[in-house]
Amino acid sequence: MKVYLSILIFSLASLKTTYAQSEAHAIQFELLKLENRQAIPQSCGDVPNKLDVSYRVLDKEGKPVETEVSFVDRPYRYSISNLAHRWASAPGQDSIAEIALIPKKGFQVTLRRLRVATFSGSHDLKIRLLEEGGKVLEDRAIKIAERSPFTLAPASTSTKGLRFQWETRNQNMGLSAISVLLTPIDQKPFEPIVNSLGLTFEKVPGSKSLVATTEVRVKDYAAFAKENPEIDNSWNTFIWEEWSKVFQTWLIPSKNPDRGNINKGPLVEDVYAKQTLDDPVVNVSWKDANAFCRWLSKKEGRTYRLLTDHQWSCAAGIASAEDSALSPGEKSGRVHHYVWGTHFPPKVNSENLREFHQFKDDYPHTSPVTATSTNLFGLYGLAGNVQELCEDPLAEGSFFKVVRGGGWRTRELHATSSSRAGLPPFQRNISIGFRIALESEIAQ
Amino acid sequence: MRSELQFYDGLPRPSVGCERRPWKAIVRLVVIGVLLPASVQAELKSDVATHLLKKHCIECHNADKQEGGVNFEQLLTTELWDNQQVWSAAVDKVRSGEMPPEKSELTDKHRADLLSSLDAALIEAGETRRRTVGRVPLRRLTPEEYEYTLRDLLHLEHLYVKQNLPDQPTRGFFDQSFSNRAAAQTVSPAGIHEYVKVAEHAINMAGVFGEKPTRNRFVLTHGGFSHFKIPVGEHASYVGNTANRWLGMKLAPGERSNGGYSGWYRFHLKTQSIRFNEHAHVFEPFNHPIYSQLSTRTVDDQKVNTAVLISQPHRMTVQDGLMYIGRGNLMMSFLSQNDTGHKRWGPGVLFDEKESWLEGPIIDEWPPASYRSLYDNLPNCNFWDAKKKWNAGPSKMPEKRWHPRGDLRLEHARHNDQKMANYVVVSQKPEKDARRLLTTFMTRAFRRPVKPEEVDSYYELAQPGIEANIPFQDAIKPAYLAVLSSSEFLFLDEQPGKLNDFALANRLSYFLWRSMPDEALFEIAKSGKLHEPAVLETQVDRMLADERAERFIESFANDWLQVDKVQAMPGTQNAWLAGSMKHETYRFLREMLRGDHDVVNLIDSDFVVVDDKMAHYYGIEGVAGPEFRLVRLPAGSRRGGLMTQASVLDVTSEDSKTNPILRGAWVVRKIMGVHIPPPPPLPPQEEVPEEERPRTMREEIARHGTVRSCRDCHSKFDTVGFALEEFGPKGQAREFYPNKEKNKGKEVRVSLIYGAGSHRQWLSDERVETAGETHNGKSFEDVAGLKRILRQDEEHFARHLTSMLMAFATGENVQYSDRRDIDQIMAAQPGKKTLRSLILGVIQSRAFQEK
Repeated sequence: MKVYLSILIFSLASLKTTYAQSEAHAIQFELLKLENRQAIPQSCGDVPNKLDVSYRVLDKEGKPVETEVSFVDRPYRYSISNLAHRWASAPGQDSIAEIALIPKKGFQVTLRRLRVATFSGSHDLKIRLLEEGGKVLEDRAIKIAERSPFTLAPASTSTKGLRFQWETRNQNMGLSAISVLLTPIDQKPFEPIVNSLGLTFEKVPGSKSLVATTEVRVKDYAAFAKENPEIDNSWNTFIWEEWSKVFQTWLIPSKNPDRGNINKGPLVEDVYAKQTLDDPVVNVSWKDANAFCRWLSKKEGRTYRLLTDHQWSCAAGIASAEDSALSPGEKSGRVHHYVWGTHFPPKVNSENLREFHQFKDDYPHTSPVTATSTNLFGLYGLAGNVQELCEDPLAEGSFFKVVRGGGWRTRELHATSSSRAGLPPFQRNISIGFRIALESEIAQ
Repeated sequence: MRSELQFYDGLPRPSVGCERRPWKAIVRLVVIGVLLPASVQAELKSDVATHLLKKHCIECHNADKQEGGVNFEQLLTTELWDNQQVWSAAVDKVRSGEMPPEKSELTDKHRADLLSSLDAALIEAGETRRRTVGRVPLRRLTPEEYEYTLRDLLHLEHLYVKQNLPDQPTRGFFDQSFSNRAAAQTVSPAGIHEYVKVAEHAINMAGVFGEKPTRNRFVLTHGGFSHFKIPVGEHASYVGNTANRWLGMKLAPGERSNGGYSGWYRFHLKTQSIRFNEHAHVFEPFNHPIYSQLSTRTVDDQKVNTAVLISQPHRMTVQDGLMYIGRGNLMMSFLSQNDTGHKRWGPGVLFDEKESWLEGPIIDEWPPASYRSLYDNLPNCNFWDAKKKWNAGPSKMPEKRWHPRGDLRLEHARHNDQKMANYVVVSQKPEKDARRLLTTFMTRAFRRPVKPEEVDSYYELAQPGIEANIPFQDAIKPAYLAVLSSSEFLFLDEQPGKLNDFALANRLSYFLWRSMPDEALFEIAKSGKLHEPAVLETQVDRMLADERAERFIESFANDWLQVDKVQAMPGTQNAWLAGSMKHETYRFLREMLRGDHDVVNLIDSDFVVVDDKMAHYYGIEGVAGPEFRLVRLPAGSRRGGLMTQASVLDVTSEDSKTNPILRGAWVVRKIMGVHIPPPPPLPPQEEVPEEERPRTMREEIARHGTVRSCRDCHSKFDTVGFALEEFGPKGQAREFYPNKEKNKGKEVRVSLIYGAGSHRQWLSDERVETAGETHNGKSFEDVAGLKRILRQDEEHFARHLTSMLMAFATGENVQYSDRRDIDQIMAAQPGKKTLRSLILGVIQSRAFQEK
């Protein structure tokens, strides 16, 4: 049995105190402080029985220092985060902050990803990853640009335990999230699965299926279209350009006095841009996407489907913060969370969103699926690039199928992890694609 | 005269003597009733009074000085009745000791002598007036009453004509009298044309011919402003929130949503609230319900709000209801409480077209009651179909002739069916039928039995048409028009002295229903028992329980409190809240009537009558749904009573700021019943340097004290209005004055509109001032204190309310000699007084039962 553990740490207090029981292998970390902020959901199983997590501050010589851990809640107007926690030591002194992850007997721990956030100033930072017992696995200096959360992916496994240290004088910096994998000693840690199309599938806590790390790409869909010539051709680039002419007409003020505000629509050059084969496929309806899944399942002898709304929430890491009694539509916008952190905007080019005064990126249109950064589970483009179709309707009996995440022409509202949109099952949209899940025993 | 007459109805008219036209009577009555002054001479009998007046009053109130505008030199030489208001004010001032001022020496004995002498003279004058001319001059139906009467007479539930009638009542803020005050009414010959036009319109509306329309189901289709709509699937479409713009929903089949027939329809709409994201071109969930207003246009293009559609979020929900659909399309407008309206693609409503429909018309009886009110049991048939069949028989088919003024027909066809123009009312014995119909119609319209001679004179108008064998409905129409614009219809038939039972029935029903008596009341009047107190009381209770009593409540509230002047809040596009504000007052008065509450509750009550919107506005929790209901107020609440209702606070404010002076004047006049004359024209103002101008309301009020002509009146009410300062210009509770500049001062978020979220406001540091003093020198700290003071003088308020009711009931303000009637009403009810008991008291008073 493999247990995948991902911990999103938002408060030291939470580490020490609250663990709530949840489904089979999952443990939930609840957020204690930050009452007026939305609790960011965690995933995972039975952490206290399998892993000890502790935090301390060391001085230059490596001796523990008594210090208060404070939460920084500084309202920067455009700050990356006003929620990350100040885990540094006394002011003005060089010190080392350390988080220790010690697995219980019979388990090995893998540190997959961690996210560090700063408030201000670019500065140097020394990071060190040690195995319990003193063996140094990694030791390097990195430079942090202002207001940029960064994600490290050390991918180290140990049965004894791991200690992650960072040495800095800057207090306005903190660890905001970690993703950890716990596996029984007799098993190999989970490795992502790659299918015949080259799509990678990751394990996501809470989800009973493996989730593709990227959206379905143009080349994947082309393979499907090649074998099924009868399907609708709207996804094709040629049709795309035709369609964009229609769209352009729609933007001309004289023809549409009520909609002609070019500042509110996509730019003309945007819609003429061509997609590469690695771009996510768009202009596919919900029905097309399901046909794709059926075709791929038949081809590989496995079961592929669209993500359910719940699975998508698991992938974004917010599933446990949502009320399962509500319909997807009712859940919309209730949890304030972005996959890159708590505040808008993200780091430049780390997501592909609509350009406006708060956010700029280099992608006027869809971008290659792996061009932007991943979240802690290694998934690309949840918040940006294209919006993704899900399996369920917005509510029981609704016309609309759930559309999740943001896209190249949405602004911050849709980039929040909990926002939903709706699309009738036969409609197509140039900023909506889809992501697939693989039903697998490994996920169970 | 003759050419004018042809203009009235435009009908071809053979030689009928115009001397017998009823218009002449109107003019005659007008002259007698309105233009001639009362020929009553009631002199001051007592030399003592004249002597005392000359000794103590004339020093200031003479032709030269004319202090306060009063000149006793002149008053003593003119008829007492002509200036009875000045005289009664003088009596009041002498009695209260206000006059003469202290320096004058009027001994108690002389004062008593003077008072008794004046009192006797005024009462004598009043009695003489009652005996000879009557207390109330000839009284005409107000436009409102005319409309209601036509509705009841012709059984046309949805007739809206009052705005087309002449002599619209205009009420200024300082107007103390009611819109039905006879002495203020005028009739001009030119105005009569308008009555004829309106009557013709109503008769066209009432005559609905043809077969009984079948009940159809009309499906919602795309239409109207298509660029506000987005199709969603085969059967659903989205209508974006367009900030209260009207949207046409064209319904199949045909041009009109009701397929051509006005009437009641059942609507069944499956909707959901949702939002369209214009950036991503996708729909997204919207978490609030959206209220829309379904409405239709009546034949005369009056907007009528008939139903509220509530679209719930997340799920399609069905709403059923009944609405009356007149001419044209079913309309829908968003009561945009959720959106500021500047976004084209704000939240909107998603319709399931497959499951949204309109079914009707729902017709219980055919031909409808309106047809029977004009043509009774006469059949009608399609002219062209029947012609062949008919001509084969013994009698000749009436000739179908197109009317010289075709627009009448067009009008006719427009509101019903094009085909209707082809229908004729069939009468085998037209003359007999015409007389029979006219007798019934005139009895109802004149609200009294009619004599055969009278019928003859009106039949003469129908005769030429009947002789010319034109369709029956066209032949009899001139007679009907003449009835509906005659003096007997337009004026209340009252004779000096005690009213007969028919006149009493009229007065009663125009008081409580604003319309003609119904059949039951008419029958009782016919039996001659109406004047018996027990019968009268039973009838009053029956009438108050009737739906038509709402008309009394609304008219009375509009006239007394000017609630109808409530305007929609600027900037929020929320016409709906304004509607709720008005209705709160109406429903409050209705609750006073139905619940038989003590009239003190009008000053201060421990309950309010609110719907969800008003409850939210007042900060009362736990009220859901658009129905108005009685809600008990928590202890210490500032609301309760009339004064603190948002409608009243709104009409006493300027656009966006409060004016304590206006509010003070309102409270003093409307609640305390103190007479305050309209402000005199301002004397030419000197340019005041910037630094000397008053900065606050208190400073401005202090200026009033320095000017004599201001002080006399303003001292009575200037600071009273401060009690209401804790409510903003739209009646919202507040603690601080708003900051004059935006973005400065303390920023708060306020949520006034139910379901709409909140908006920002900037407050200054200045706390609202609420302390003040009443005209009789009692000081208060806040509105609760003012209410306490007013409650102490409960008796006075009840008396004031009674006199308002009496003025409204009789069509004449309460005069000095009527005070005895009020005294009797008050004396008969020593304990608890309710609105019902006061109404009953007024009805049983002498002033009501005599002209």
